[in-house]
Amino acid sequence: MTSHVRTQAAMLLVLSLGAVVILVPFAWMMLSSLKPNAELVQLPPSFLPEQPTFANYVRVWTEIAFGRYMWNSLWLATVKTILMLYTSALAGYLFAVYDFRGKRLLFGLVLATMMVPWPVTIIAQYQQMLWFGWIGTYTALIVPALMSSFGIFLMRQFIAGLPSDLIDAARVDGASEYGIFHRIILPLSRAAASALAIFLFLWSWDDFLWPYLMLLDDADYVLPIGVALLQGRYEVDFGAVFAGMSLSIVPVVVVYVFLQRSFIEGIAFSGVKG
Amino acid sequence: MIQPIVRTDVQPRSRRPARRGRLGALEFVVPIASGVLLFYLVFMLFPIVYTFVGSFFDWRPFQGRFEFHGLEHYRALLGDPEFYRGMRINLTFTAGVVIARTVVGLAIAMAIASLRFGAPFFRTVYFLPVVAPMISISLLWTWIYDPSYGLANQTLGLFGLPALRWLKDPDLALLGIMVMTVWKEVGYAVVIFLAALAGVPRSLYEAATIDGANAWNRFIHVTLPSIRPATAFVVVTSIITYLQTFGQIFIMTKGGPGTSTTTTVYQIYDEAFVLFDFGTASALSMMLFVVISVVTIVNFRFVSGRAP
Repeated sequence: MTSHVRTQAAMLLVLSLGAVVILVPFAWMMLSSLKPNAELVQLPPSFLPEQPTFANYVRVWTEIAFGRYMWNSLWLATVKTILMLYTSALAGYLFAVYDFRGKRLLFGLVLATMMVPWPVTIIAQYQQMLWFGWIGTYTALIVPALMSSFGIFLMRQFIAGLPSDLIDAARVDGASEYGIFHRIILPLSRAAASALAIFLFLWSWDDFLWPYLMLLDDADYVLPIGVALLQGRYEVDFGAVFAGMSLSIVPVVVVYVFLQRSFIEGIAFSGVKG
Repeated sequence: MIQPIVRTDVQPRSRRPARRGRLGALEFVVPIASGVLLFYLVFMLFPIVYTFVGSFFDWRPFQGRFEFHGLEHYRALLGDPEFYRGMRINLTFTAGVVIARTVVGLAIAMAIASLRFGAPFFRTVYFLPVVAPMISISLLWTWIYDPSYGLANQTLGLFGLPALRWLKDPDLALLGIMVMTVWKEVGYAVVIFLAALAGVPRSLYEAATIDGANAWNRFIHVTLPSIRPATAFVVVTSIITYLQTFGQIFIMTKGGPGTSTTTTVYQIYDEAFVLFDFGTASALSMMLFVVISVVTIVNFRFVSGRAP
């Protein structure tokens, strides 16, 4: 019994040390974002801000247009997520329920492209965007991301597991195929769709290289580009760097802490459970 | 980044066979299937084929040049020590991060699973960096590694240890990026392993204990075999992900100091989007594609004992 208590205590201690290692960088970032530049370079360094100030945030918001970047990231991720959810559900329904010639080949194509590393496609995709004249526009970010192989696969697995009676009943009642999809399949797929939405939104929010290559106008930049540009201030304006990082990290982390059950269930749902 | 998880081996029972005779279904199948086909042909299949073709061409988009070059790019790469160096760095980074993420992830998951209370708290904490954007975390760690003001040297100082130059030191830079990557993404493995551990029947452990197995034996003979699919999953998805690592390197070192963190992927970025030599970049991509495919196939066979 005592040995059991001792094991528990040891586990708690080790895990708590690990938790400190995870949490301290976040705390250091947020505390530093409240310090004036002079305090950030003083020796010995302070841990808690001696003269807390929001001046760094004001500079990031006014001089580097972080508000604008956040807004761009937010609506872009929202639009892309909604579009991908819809196409994933449509294609997932197609592959789950219908039989047609070439179905296996088409589904194989969808799955195979998921395994292809991004360096293999990005070069020719850039050339394509040059041909289409989409460079410098959000079209280049949205249209090539209209469909998600992962999303199609996930929705197909989920829809294939739905009870068929409802669909059959609707069909007997004379509902059209699109009517069945919109009024029966979509509402029933809410569990899978919300898990998928979290993934799609985070990927879009995180996406750096493609927007960095495609967007030319400063006013169009998304948040990761804004953060990468902070490096230009590396040697001169430490406070702005910490404030900018905090602005890009804290919202996601807060949303995660509130929705963490859906995050983690989403992973379990789409992964280990198949 | 969170990887997509796909298990193609789990097939839902197909309960509804042909519906070919229905006219109504055609209204759905024809447009949707054509849409999917068109999208994948234009935005996935075409770029792959065009990159392959382009690797045999002198291809410079901003000079409008696309001239047949034969095997020139491949010959140049295979004779270039930097190419092998890039591959070696790419593979070293991948091997280190994959092993550390899997081992540390499993250790943390087992520790959390053994707790009587507090498990949800630790799961939340360890998963936290996973959801944060990679570019921001990379910049944060660039600061942590700053030789003058960074948290890393401040911590070493607390223990009376000498300061290090971290990302400015060619011998430490790659290791520094690896540590940061494991720190950020180990939580994902923790969640996968926790789900797998929850599925191991307690009776197996009890039976092993009655048979006189100690903790280590129970781990080797009960835990490991039971969570094998999850382990295979973490290892394989990690390998595929980390062979393509880019964001951290771009933010933290730009491939330096010297070429000490210039992976093949970073070389591809450099050739394609700094020098705009798409031909060379395509040839590099194809080589990387071959390496990733071989590693993936070998891995599926080795880890899970079956073909993908």
